[in-house]
Amino acid sequence: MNRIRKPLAVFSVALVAVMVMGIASFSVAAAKPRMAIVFATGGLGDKSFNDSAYEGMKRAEEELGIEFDQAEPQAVAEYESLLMRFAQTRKYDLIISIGFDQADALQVVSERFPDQKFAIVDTAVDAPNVASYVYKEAERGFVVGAVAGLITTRTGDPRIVSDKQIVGVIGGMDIPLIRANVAGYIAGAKYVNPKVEVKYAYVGHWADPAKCKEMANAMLDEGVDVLWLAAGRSGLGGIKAAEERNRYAIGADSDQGYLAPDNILTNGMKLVDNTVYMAIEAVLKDEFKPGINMLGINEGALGYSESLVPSDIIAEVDKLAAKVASGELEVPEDIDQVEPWLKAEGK
Amino acid sequence: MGPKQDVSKFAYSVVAIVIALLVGAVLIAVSGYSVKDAYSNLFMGAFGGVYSLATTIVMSTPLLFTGLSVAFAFQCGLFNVGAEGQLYVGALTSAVVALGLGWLPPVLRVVIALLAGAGAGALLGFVPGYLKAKLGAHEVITTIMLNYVATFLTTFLVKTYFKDPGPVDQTVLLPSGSRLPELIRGTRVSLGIILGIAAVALLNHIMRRSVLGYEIRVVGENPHAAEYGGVSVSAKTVQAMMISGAVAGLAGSVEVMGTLYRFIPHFSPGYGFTGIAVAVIAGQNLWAVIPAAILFGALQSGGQTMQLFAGIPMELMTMVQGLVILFVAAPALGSLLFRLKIRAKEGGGLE
Repeated sequence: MNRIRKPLAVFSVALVAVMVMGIASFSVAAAKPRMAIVFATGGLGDKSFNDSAYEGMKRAEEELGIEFDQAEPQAVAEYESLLMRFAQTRKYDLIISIGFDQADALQVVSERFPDQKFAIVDTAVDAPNVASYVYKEAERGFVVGAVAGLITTRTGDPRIVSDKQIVGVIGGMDIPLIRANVAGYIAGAKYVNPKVEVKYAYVGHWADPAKCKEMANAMLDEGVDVLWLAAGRSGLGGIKAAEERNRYAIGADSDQGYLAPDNILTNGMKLVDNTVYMAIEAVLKDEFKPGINMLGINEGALGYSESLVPSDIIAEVDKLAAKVASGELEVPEDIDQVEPWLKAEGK
Repeated sequence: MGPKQDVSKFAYSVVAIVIALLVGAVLIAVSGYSVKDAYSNLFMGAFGGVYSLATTIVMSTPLLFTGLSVAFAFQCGLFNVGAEGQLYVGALTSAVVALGLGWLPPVLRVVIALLAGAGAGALLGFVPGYLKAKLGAHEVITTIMLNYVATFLTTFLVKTYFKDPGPVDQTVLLPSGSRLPELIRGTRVSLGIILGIAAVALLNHIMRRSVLGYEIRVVGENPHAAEYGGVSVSAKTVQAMMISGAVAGLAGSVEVMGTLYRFIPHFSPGYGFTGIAVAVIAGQNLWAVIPAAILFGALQSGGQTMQLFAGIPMELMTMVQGLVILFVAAPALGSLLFRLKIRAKEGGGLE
């Protein structure tokens, strides 16, 4: 006992000292506009959705002069308490939720803090103080699908392994949001190239690169030249597979080119950074708009990156993108509607 | 273990926690963050104000059950790494039963749903218990493997049979009559914490006052002697694993019925695994599961605000938790550091 008592006293004093210092120094809020963001469970470093949102926050910090605090939940169970803790301080001009699985938590918290402004990206929450930003998913599927449909005919390219003209897409989960991407992809590929065959599959998980890689290899075995990975973190596995076998991969959400510089043909960009920036700007300009804000190519929220795409294909796809933006082409959101739509478009 | 030993063990744990926090402070400082900001937020986030306290309790509640589950299996000399999986089957079973029994009066509905969750956990605990008793398959391996089975089976079942229409894979919300009553309005503190404490009391009673408890302890101390003395080691192994599984299943039930109000695949941030840490710190004393669970709940809850308002990544918080386990569970390491420190002070050579 004696051996323990002395250090016990020393450390207890130290602990008390640390805590007293802590309580005494509670910081005072700054005068700058202050935002908070709760990321999706994939966390920062997903090279995709969350990282893109973070970029948007950083840009708003530099260009709009805001400050922000952030939270990286590890599981769905944590969303509510994180949102609650931000809202409770009542010092944020806007609290942003990233990802559709925060809807439940935000519904509860937004009701409890009716004067707090919230924004949620990628899903809709029906509350008078929440601005929901959702995407016309099919539109970006359409542009990358068009790129895929065109490149697969270039048999001179070593990454195009056959003249069979097969392209593929792997989605994260079999849900309407991802199905719309797949529908757009099929529509885009077949719109520019009626001969193309499109294969698709779903991983069933947002963060399972190993399984995604397995599925990607199966598709590559069947002769797929170009593979789009619309699968969050799981997509990293598919990109790896394409790189190892020297085929083309298409990234998702943010520019994933650095992962496989010779193989990432383009990226189906969901410009979450622009979205987050837009949401913040709206609040600063006093133009906060609760309800559903639909974003697409026209709003600069969706698009594709030029990456390795040959310039003549870029020219052609840009023309199509402009037609989509203007509303001249309305991309189908359901896989079953693709064939009738193509017929109606005369393809 | 006598009361005197318990007190000195408790004192030792407190000292170990303080050392862990001090080492953590060094890591935080080395990583370029303010220790003062970090620990003031940690403390305020865990204990400063009603919501913080409530969040600490909410986060301690599942750990109370999973910690108890693992600690109970320890008593029989079994290492149940499968609390996470047992939690998932308990959670889904309770959600489905609570949703399906809408026609029953609320109290009955809640009781049956809880029992069903415990039953499902017990069933999943039975498998590794039986495999160990009959085939000698080590429970660490089987429970780890069953975690995957349980986690993905529940995900599959939700997607295929119990899905709420919409983009997210989850069950529909439980109606208010199927939920555990809220103890503090506007927080998620539910009856679950009381049930958890009651479960500790009950298992403690079983361990110390019943024949079953005595036999389980004997098997835990020395299975050969137990067998020689006429206690069936295989029967006790199966029974202990089932009880352990039932308690872990309740962790899931209570989380679904008292906090989330629905089953969401992959909802747990590793409550089953943190439960192992809780049990290691609690050691042989089941009552010690309560402070140990609250300690980890407080670290989680305070870790949130540390992350939000001091900008410290959750990874650093997880490291601090790891240090707590290291120092509490490794007395040798702790006392080694003491001696170094004391020697340094006395000799003046080291610092």
